[in-house]
Amino acid sequence: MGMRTTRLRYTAVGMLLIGLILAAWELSVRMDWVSRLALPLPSSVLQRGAELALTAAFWSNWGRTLAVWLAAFAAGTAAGLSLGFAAGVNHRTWLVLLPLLGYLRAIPPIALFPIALIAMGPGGLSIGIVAGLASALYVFPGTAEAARESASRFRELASILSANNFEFLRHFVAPGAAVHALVSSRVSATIAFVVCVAGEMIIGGRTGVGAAVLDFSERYRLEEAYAYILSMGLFGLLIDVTFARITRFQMVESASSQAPTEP
Amino acid sequence: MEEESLRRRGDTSHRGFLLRAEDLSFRIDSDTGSVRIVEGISLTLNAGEILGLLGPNGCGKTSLLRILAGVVQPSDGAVIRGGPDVSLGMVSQHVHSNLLPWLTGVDNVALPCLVKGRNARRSRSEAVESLNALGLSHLSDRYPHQLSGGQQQLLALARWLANPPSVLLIDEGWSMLDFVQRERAYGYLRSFRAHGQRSVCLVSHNIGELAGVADRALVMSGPPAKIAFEIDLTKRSTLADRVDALWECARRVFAIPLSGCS
Repeated sequence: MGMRTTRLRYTAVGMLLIGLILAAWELSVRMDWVSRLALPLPSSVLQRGAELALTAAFWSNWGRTLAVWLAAFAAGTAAGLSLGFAAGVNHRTWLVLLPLLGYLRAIPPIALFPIALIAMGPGGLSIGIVAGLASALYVFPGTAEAARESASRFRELASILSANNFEFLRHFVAPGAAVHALVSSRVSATIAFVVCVAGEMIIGGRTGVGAAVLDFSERYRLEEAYAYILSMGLFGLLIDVTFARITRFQMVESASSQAPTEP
Repeated sequence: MEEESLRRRGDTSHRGFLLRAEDLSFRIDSDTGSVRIVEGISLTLNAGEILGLLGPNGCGKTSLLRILAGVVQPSDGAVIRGGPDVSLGMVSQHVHSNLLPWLTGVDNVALPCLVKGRNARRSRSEAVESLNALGLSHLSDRYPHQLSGGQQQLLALARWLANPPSVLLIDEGWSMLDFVQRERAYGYLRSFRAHGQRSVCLVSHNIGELAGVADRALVMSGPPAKIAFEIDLTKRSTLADRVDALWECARRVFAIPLSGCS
């Protein structure tokens, strides 16, 4: 059986698992094992979700969330990758940045929202900066470690080949750390999204998917709230699938360097 | 063949040195004090010769090679190149440090050209030709993790044969090769040094290998690394004589009792 067929089979089993959870949810509510006041029927949620998808407000909320998420993720990941590669290549940079980043990483991003609110007011900018910071702080250590490993492994070869700093980074460090950087970026994308949604719930005002969930919950329209939550799950899945494809491509290119096997 | 060999060795005196180490010392300073790794080593690598280095594990051979390569700066002494155009290549004893795992065999061979910024397509095409010439075309499209340890060592050597430096430093470069591939590698080395202003410095634990391929051998003791004996193998007419000469010196350095020599 080919790798592609195997992968498809496992993906199908994974999707079936989601279907089973929804079925169990439906059954437990219909049998009144769980109160409908706390958990609406998933079939009703899906029906409401389909109706919501036809409204402009739904897409407007998603549009705003995605815009903030994309900006935060792009800026945060770019900063994290740059600092990570710099720290990987240059030991002094690593030593200088390590205490600061260790300190910042210990602070939960959500704890920064009140400060961002005071400094920049409510809205996308505050959320984006906190989400960007969370993203960067996640990407940095994984990238730096991978870059350091790659740099120390190939520094001698690069030196023999008289590679300058740029060539060293381009030919030896960046390709060697690319898989780890991608994996870090994949998780960082999810973290940025989580922080964005949380920010919208706390300081976001009235738009964005987080604010919509909060709004529908406060008005006790649980079906709509759950429909938004399920659509977030779909988006998370989309992030995962996209990065998995990029990472898989990169890993084929890098020939899975971490696990050498003889033919 | 012997005549040809002697003629080649005779050439060396006219070419001068390619690399010279003068009173090299290397120390590592730590909180607990200074550890001497290499002490007072002077040696010359002449054009057209293969210099063998033999010594116990951990005596400092690799450190010496890394100093010669310019990867590590000596604490004292200097490494002098015979001219501005003298270039260096090195095959490390650590197989995984020689090849970039994300590059195919041909790209790994073309790496020196790619790093220099030469045309990638042309560099690859030249690398393919070189691999074909070396009889290693089957390694072209394979990634390092798809190769055995011996094949990886051959590929690492092929890189420098395709992009020949003036001085090739080999640190136990074929410890994983079978005897057929080893003979093949010796042939590569002989033809490498036979062309122009080139020399090889070869670290090996195999006395038979050094006797077969080296023109001169340094038997080292340590740590710290010192040259205990220098043997001109060109003055020994047969392979058995060379093995005996190397073995006699090695026996003293490795402190092997005479009964162990039989």
